[in-house]
Amino acid sequence: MSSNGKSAIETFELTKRFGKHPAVDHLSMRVPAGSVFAFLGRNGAGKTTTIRILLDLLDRTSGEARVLGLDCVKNSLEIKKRIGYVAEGQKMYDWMKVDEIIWFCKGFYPNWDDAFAAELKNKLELPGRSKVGELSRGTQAKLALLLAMAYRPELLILDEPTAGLDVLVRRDFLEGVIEIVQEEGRTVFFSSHIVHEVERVADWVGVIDNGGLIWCSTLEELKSSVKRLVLGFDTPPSAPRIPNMLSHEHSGRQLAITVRDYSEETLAAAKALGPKDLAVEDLSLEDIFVALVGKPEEA
Amino acid sequence: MSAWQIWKRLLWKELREGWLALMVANLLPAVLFPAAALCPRDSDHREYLVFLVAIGPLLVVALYAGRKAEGKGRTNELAVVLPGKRAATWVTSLIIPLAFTALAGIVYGALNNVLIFHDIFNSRGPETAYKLLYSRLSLNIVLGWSLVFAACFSACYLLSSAVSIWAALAGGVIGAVCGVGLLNGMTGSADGPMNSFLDLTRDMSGFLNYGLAIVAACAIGSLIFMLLANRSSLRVRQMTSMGVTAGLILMVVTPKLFVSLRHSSDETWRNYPSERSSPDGSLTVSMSDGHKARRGEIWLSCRDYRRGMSFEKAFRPPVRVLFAKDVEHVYLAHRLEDRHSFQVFMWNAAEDRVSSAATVRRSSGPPNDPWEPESSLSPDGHYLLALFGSGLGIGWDLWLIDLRMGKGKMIAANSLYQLNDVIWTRKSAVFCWQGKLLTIDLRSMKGRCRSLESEGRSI
Repeated sequence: MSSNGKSAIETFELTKRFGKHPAVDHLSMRVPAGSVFAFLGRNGAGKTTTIRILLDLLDRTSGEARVLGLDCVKNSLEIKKRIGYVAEGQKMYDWMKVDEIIWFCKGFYPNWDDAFAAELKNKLELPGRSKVGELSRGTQAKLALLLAMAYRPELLILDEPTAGLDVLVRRDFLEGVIEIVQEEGRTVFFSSHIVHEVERVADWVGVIDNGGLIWCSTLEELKSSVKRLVLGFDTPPSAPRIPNMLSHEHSGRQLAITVRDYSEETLAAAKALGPKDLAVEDLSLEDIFVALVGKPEEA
Repeated sequence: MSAWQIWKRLLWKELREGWLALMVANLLPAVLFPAAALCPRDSDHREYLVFLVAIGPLLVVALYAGRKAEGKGRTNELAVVLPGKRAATWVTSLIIPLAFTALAGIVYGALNNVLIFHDIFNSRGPETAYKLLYSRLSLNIVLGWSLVFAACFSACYLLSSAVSIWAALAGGVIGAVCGVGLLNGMTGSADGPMNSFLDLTRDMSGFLNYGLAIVAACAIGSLIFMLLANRSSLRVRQMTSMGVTAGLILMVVTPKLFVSLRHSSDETWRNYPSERSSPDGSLTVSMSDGHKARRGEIWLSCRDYRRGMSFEKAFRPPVRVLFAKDVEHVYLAHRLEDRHSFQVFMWNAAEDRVSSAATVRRSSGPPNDPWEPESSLSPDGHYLLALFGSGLGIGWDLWLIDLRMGKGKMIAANSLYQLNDVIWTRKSAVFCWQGKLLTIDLRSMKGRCRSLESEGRSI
């Protein structure tokens, strides 16, 4: 992570309601500049709504949202010039050729870098004379990436960019993004629900559920914070009580407890249950995600 | 990067997405329906008012619809994330094709003017023709058509954005049936298919028809679009713009379907009791739909004062007495089913015999107008000069009918109100009208117009 204290994105009590239903509910979040920030959540958790508000494609109900230090509504045009955006299944003009759509988009960006665009085109192996509509979905996603990056945006926002792509293309795409962006130390904010892929590229993680942010930290902090305690008993307690417990699971004589904010106190509380043996395990990001967005249990 | 770079690209995109082709397609009605290009010349600025009244709310709602559409389904489109002003996208996607459509209307109006110019040039000479061409009237015709086209497009565009498929289907059907089929002046019968559409000078009902006709056209355009288009944005806009063409074509075509519906009633063609006398006053032919007439009939009574005899015969309306020479030669005109042609026939009342004399095509006007002027028959009974209503609001069409050959030809279009003392020679017919000397060569069936004033000076 190369956070320098500045924020690429900041939201404060951001709320968006569709009728009575809150799609985003008092969301306060900070995305450090220079980070690769994974915005995780289940389908319908509010990821895309948040991103659309940030891009001024959707009006907010209340709260504040700032992108690159600018208000996302008042400075929408300026923000769009400085950020790149790739959405899931982004519709480009099917009838344009790749070279034509590059020329078309170039006109909108003062900082468009022709040499960089050509370099990206080669790197991503895009056929300049093919029509956009004739490209595979993976190649279209790469084209969208080129169009979003050729003007060297300070912030790249990716909204489920790899959804619908096969595993190899997804990996290729994400690694391509990270490789390009990290060379320049820019910020990437991307949403996804394919958690295991995020783990390989993200250094910050935010988890949104039911419109509210339930976690925001570096990936390392998250991993060191959420742990699984595996306790062996002759007769395991049916309803164990441990501070910050996220979930528990019985397996024979074993009891697996997932906790957040893991500390010595947590360990002491686990020992107080009187297990015959006790092990502390690290979790994968996917397991952590499942534990976080599952229903939390009363401590 | 200058704003021009953005505009240039948006313009390029719009052009590439087919607006030029669509603009050409929008001219199709002018090619397919040349008769439709004959519109009335009595138009005024109320047309502009209709357009302005219509376009303001349309734009407001269209912008609102666009905003809503962006919020719902269009956030994935590349255009909405590009850092161009939203207005620029709207202006190019709405105003540019609107301008093209208006341009198509200008071309259509200009074609109309060419036809008018041609008629006037032939009938009243170059001076009058050029005066008309450069008059406010010509400008009004061009602008009027332009605004009609543009208004149609705007409303079609709006409906495609803001209305659901089912609402558009319902609206389209209602619009087609009520708007085009049943409204007065939209039947394509009396004044030609498009004439009443633009004629705003008569009364407020015409004005109302005009507005409703636009709505009907838009509804039909939307109906066509909804039935055929898939929902991708390019297709939507292309098909929407085609709605103008579809609407105009249907406005011409569908009235034909309703003609029989509207004119099945006996009340449709009113028969005015009138009387015509022979030049020597020995014969009168009167028309009556009174006591003897059954439904769907009109009675002609021929009274021969010299012989003291009367003859009567029932005819099927619409029928009009053109000229009564004697009891054996009463010339009548009967409007044919196509409503743009007359059959001229001769009624021999003495022998109760009717025979066809000629057919006059492409004329219109009321079939039995009590104010319709007298006709004139050549002394040898070979030629008949008759005036038929043009439906264009200025005067009557002058027709020369060769009764022996059974054909007729229009000599002058909508320029005369009456035939004044026609002088027949073996080769020509000559008469004066408003300081003009009109000479008709009988063999070539062509007319020549000269100004008496200039003749006087030359003498």
